[in-house]
Amino acid sequence: MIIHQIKFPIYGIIIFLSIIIGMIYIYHSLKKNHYQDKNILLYFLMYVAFSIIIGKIYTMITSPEQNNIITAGLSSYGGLIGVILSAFIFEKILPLNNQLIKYSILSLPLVYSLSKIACFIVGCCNGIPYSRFGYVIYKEGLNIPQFPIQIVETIVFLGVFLICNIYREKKNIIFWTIISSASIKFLLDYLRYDHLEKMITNNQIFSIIIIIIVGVVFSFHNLKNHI
Amino acid sequence: MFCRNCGEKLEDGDRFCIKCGTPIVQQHEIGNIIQEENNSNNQLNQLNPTVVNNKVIDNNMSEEDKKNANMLCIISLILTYGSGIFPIFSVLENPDSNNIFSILCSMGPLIGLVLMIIARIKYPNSKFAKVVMWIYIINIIIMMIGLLLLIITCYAAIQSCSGMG
Repeated sequence: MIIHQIKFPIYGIIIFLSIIIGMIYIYHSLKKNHYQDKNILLYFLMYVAFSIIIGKIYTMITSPEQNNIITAGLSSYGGLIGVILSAFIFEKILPLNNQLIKYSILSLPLVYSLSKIACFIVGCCNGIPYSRFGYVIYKEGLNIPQFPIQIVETIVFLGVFLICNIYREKKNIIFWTIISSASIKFLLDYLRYDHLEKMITNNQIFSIIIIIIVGVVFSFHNLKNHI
Repeated sequence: MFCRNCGEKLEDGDRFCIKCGTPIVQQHEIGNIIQEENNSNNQLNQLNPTVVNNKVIDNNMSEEDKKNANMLCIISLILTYGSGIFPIFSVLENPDSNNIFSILCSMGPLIGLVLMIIARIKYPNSKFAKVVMWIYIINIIIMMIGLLLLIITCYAAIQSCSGMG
């Protein structure tokens, strides 16, 4: 498939739509649990502000040349950290039996999956050189046959979301959602073009850090519950 | 005792329902005050319940609570707008200014937002907290529109697509 890159405004629209769909999922799930609209609204204020500002702070930390918060780019990983942080802080202010954290984390594979459609259309975050079934060529990009990693990420993360959503009432589902998402992200990054230039990418380092932190936190939590 | 909103079983001393976050203290206080007013005025039943509730809610906040809520809201606004001004000036004066200062300043609005939410949840009857909440809602809508415009007009600004997404 040969793709002429469509830069704008598709990218922005799809990213925004994916965030809105994630918020609709959280709203729908919380409403089913009889949450008050007022509390959900307050949480969404934190959700949006934290994901945008921490997304920008993450970019400023990892790309020092971008030193202005207003014009700094929005990193998807920073946004994810912002969402998780906002859920944890909100639960500290108004303890809701970890339901808010659970649904926020369950929504992340969905948001990520949908946002990758934008990357596929625009032609960023592209795959390794590959010339078999399903390859794509970005005429205004590298102009070589490449692996359609963005679409693979969309399908795989949508699958992760659906499976985790089916088992959402299970104990430790938060743990399994994070561990499975981070592990899959780590593995799929081997199919990204960036990986050819680096032994290990920033995403992979970040995935390992997430797996270690979440593993330690949940082991400690389970140990505490047993005692 | 059960929550009036979702029916969850509640423990004695709970301030909020653990499932849906409905304030429990408020319900008790409203109930007690309505009972008191019932005793003193038999015509109360004919009044519009919303008006009664509003009256009760206004009288329900102690002076100390009002002071605490106002203090939280003022600190919240100072953090949000105070810290927001400095990076703009520093960038205008020196576009190459270091980003540690900018990062620290950009944490201000986040802490401010958290303080506003604490004020709204702990003191749900505070009118000042309600006004500040609407200021934040308008701000966030403007921020989202600004970000959308930034994404539309400046592709280079999307860091996630230069190897980080």
